[in-house]
Amino acid sequence: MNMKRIALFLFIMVSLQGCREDVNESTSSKNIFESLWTILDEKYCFFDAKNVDWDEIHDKYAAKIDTIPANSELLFNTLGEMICELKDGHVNLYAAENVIRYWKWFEDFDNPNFSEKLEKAYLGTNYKIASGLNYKMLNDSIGYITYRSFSASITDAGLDYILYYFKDCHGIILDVRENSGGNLSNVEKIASRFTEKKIIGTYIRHKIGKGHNDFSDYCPMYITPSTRNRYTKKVVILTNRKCYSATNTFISTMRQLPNVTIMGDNTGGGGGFPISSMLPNGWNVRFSSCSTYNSDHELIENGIVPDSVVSITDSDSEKNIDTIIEKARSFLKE
Amino acid sequence: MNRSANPSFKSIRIILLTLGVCLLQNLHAQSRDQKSLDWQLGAGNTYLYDDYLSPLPHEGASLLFSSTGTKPLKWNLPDSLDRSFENVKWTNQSNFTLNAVYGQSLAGSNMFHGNIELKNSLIRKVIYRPTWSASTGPYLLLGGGGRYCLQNGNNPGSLDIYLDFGLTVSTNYQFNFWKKQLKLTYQGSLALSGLAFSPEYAESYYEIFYLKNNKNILKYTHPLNNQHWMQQLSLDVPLSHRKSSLRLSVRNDGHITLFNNIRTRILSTHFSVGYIRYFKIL
Repeated sequence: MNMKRIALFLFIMVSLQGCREDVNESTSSKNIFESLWTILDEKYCFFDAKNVDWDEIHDKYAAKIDTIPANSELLFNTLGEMICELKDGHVNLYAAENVIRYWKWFEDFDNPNFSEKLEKAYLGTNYKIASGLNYKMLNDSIGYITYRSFSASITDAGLDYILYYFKDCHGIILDVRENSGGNLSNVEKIASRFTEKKIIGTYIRHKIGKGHNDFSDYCPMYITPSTRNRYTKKVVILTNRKCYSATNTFISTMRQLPNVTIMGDNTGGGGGFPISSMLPNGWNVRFSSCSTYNSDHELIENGIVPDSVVSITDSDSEKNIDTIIEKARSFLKE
Repeated sequence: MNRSANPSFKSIRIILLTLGVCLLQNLHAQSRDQKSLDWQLGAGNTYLYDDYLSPLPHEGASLLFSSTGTKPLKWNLPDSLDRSFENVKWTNQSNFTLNAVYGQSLAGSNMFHGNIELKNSLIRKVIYRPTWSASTGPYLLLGGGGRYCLQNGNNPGSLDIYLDFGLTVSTNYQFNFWKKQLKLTYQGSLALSGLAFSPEYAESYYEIFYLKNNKNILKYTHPLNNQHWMQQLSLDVPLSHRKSSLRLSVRNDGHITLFNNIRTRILSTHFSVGYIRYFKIL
């Protein structure tokens, strides 16, 4: 009797190991395609906002996939073409040898409204550097700061010093052109130095289910005034088409402040929080899974129009003059 | 809001009550009774699936360390002076388990998993025969850990925190072999209800912990959304004067969850070698 019971227990023990997830791990072209399509179908957040018929895209590309060899460059490029239909700079497909990316949000525009030559003309070589920020006092008592990546770490001590250094100037130009994003915690860290009251910077909604419209409530991202050095005089933020992702969120947040003016070109957008997943053949996919909104609950995925649209003219550029910086200087001296 | 109508509050009350009873059991434990402490170290295989991180399963080698203390309780003690385990009805068992896993998927991605569990069981002997006995009782388990996937740039990790209330059963059979009295023990436990942490479907940890958007992250668990079990078959071989034993065991653990449309499966089998020490505190 006891041996029968022991045998039963052993049987249960072994059979419970069979509770594995039923996953198709085939590396056939069809399965790779279906895996990618399903991951995005269940987790991508902008189908309706971008008016994308994902089922139609499935049918369009499924017809091509059957004839494509597994793990081929052609498969990689075809899947890349499919995900680029989403027109989202946060959507990428990664293989060991290449990355599919959608960069039309800045490549489609002829005037970049930025050049390293002009940046050097204003900053020179004797500028100061503090925690990812380059800065200099321009000769008309205007503070000029450049920040080219929100991935560059920011320290409180560095911000303290910069704002103290510029405390007597007419205003500050914060140049975030070419800044294509990084850490959102740096957005809060900088924005908190320019506000006198707690504000809602942006809102986030994440997917709560597999349906294209399964979203959470709006979750506010608050900006609380810093208890350290703050700057409440006039500030102009310079933008161009390469301002993307965290930079886009930063601009959406800062433009609510009464002392801040946004100047330059439209931002590139990128209002989605990206997450990553993987395909059975080892390729990785990145895509937007949470959407961000401005304080009026409007999506910022497609970019932000500045308060004052200014472009660098060819004639100014030839004379080493940055039209946008000059416009900002005039504005701050008014 | 009517708190008493909320199943989460009912569950919390039941769990707190059981936790209180377990703590009181410890306070009333008889200091002159025999108790045991064992340490086991095992190696085996673990299957990992977490579709918050990856739609691909990962599998690989794992290590398990566990330590269990068992002591008789005051309730229903026999009148005789011999208060060894064979003669008491109620025992308290506390267990600590540490698990570490390195898994790979067929696609070559890598995932690490680590887990710690603290478990306290109140066990009553329900059948007692000269060569075998069977026991059962409730337990409370607090666990935590997480997984980290090296290939995920934007969401590389996921976190587990859970509190389980469940039932444990055990049976042991004593027999003589090669002039030694060996003991074969099966112990199994299954979670019945509790609480667990889970992000919403595609919610980032940045949103939960930095922006404090923590609605719906605490889930009431039951066998339909949380199947958490442990079963172990062990053979105890006495070493000297019945004060210590060598324990050889095979252990199977499973934890399958479905919260907020996120599925996880952690299934493992370990073969362990351990040492049991029996104490009699005067």
